[in-house]
Amino acid sequence: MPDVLNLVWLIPALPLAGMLITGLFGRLFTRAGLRLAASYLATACVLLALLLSIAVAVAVGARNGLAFSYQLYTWIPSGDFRADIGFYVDGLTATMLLVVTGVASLVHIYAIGYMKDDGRDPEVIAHHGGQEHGHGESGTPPPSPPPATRGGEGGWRIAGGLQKDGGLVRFFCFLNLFVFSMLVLVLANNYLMLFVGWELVGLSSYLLIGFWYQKRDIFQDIKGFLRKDVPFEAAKKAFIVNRIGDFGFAVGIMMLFVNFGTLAFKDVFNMAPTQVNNFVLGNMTVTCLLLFMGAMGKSAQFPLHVWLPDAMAGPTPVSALIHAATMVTAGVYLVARSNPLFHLAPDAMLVVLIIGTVTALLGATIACTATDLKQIVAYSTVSQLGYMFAGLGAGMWIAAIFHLFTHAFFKGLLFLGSGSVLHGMHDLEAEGKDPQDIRWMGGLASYMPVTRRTFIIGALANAGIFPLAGFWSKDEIISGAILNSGGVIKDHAVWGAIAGMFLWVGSFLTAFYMFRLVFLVFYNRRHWDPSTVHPHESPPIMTVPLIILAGAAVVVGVLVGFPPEAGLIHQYLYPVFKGVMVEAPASGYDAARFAQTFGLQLVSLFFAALGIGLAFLMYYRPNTFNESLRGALPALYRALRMRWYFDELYDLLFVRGGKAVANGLWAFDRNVVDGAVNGVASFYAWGSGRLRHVQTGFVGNYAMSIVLGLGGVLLVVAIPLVLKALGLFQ
Amino acid sequence: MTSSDMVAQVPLEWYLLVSGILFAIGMTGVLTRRNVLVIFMSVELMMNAVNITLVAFGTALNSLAGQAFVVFVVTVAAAEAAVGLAIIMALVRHKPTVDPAEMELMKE
Repeated sequence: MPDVLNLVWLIPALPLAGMLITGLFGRLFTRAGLRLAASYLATACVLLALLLSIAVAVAVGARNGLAFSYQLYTWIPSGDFRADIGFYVDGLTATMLLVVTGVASLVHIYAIGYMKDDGRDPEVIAHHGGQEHGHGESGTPPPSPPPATRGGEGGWRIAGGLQKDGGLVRFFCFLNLFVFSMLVLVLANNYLMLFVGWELVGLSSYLLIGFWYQKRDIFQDIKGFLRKDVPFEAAKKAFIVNRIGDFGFAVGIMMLFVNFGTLAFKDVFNMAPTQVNNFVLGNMTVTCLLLFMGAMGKSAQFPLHVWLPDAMAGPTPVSALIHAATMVTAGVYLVARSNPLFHLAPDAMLVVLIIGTVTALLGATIACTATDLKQIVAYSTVSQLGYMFAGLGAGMWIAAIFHLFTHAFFKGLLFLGSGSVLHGMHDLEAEGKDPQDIRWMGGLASYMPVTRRTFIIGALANAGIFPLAGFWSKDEIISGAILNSGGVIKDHAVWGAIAGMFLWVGSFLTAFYMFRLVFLVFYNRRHWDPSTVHPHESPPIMTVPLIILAGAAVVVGVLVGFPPEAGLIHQYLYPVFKGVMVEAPASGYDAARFAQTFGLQLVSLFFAALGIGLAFLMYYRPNTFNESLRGALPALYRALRMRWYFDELYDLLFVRGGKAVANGLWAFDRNVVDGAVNGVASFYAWGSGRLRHVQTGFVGNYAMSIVLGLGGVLLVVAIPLVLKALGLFQ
Repeated sequence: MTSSDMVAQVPLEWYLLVSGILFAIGMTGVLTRRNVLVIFMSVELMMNAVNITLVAFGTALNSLAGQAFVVFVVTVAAAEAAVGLAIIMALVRHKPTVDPAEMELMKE
């Protein structure tokens, strides 16, 4: 069994191979009619990686969590600086491996069905498409031309559009690239390699969000407003906002190098307690905050959260994999991995706690009024990531990772379920209506039974209802914050209590918006026309992953997290965080302890139940309550609909501000710099224009100038002589 | 009285004065006259003034170098006159005038 750990390099190598094969030979696959074979190959690579990850996880458990460090080779040997390619495997790594490969496998399987028609000739689909139910999100071409709304100007199309660009194979190539990058990130044994994985993950995200890069669609929502869908711009936005965080991260890494002389985890963490007072440049708090800045960008925390909702322009499997379970958790992983450093910087921890809480509330509030199916789930992700960071900031390391673990399952489930709903409702797109607007849905319960049931399970897990997964993980964070079980919150009576209360409000909101979504989509009244829209259940290749994830959402929480702070996962992860935790998890069932934390967890449950109840009252049956609520607080409603005006603020400050600065500099360059250069040239032109009149062409004038020169010379020679003769000059 | 006595009795300054006056007259001619041939003659006059100066100093300092140098000067003067007259011939073919004021081919 221990030999498995020597094979850990295979885990990232498999998706890398899958990516290379599908990427380099994709054309061949398509031409030979083997498109599906490429997707199966890619999926197989990830499944194998999953099996290996399970074996590794078991092996790590057998070693009692002792870290395993394995160096492949030295990448940069440069004087005092060395960067290796190596792996560091401990409980945290194993957990992340399971999450990444597990969710990735399910998403790959799901995507085979979801993206089946992408990149195919429309004619072929038109002939065969009516018979099978395997439609990609881009949909079949409509039988009749779509109704002409205000579209058609400058490249805009009305709804839908097929990408004839080797869609399926390219998609799986990028998916494998992403899995590879994430595995590199998670397995790295030094900050530089982690950064490489970090950047690659950002790149994969860009490629996958902008997958339908040719799409420039315009949809009509139920109120007649037009919504533009341009995946390419969403991809740009994601990458740019990510970059801002990456800048902070890079500076943080440099500070680590300057102060520690090395970037390897083992060395940095061993040196940290002694080095913290010997910093050459800056201090630990600043370094940790810079690292956290990277996490803010990657994990969509306030104020760098703006890219995640727009990233829903990508295909739904992408959203499920990247923006629910893996890439956005890279930031959480980074902070968790750097726990020895953060532990020495309590101020940084407080900042993490505050930003996490703020983000949790930010996402939850916006989700309450959002109308786009995937965006509601996206804001839910933002919010839950906020919970994870709040957990980290409160010193509840294991609880935060536990929440990451459970969240991957139920959020992935929710996204895939959304994809299933959208898949069934794709006829909306053909009509030019916004297919992701939930106000066009309703009453779908009877049409999509499996999707509905799994979706509700996911929603219950997300809301934190006992005994599903979310209850254990999320509420452990909240109770930990209030009780300061992590032992790190300064003035914990104040900050911990405030954070805890806000997070409780967040629980209420989470349950509320989740079930608002459920009721509006599956119950309530039908807002679609039965003659043109034919909702249907998805094929098994898509529903089976949903069922698997639903099962996980139900049992995983109890299985690994019970009793609170003393469950399997706590024992498993304890060795990772041993140095920074107040006390070891109890090995058995401690009644007093249990009662304390469980009591607080019940309070969260109460809030969640309140949220569901309110959503039920407002949305289960059509009524006018929400309209009157909207009328009572118009400014608040508008602010929420406009997502707290963050996009507008950033546009004003950075986009316009940047353009103004650029224009100013351009004016400077044009007037001052070019003016100087041209000015010198024109001066010479003017001067020579004047001087040329000396050349008269008359020889007599030239002779005169000779004589004048002669006279000058004589003067210079003669004057001193004369003065000497007269005795006036020596 | 021998000729060398007579020469030796003439003060050096007088020779230099004569030479200077001749030079000045020649220079005036170069600058003022409106006939290229006369300008040439003035140049020759300047050169002869220089010759007188050279010979006077040669005698005063009892050196033959002065007279030797004069031979060189005369040779160069002759060559220069030949070349200069050739140039004038070419110019006259362009425009049949001897007035330097009208020779403005090199005007910018």
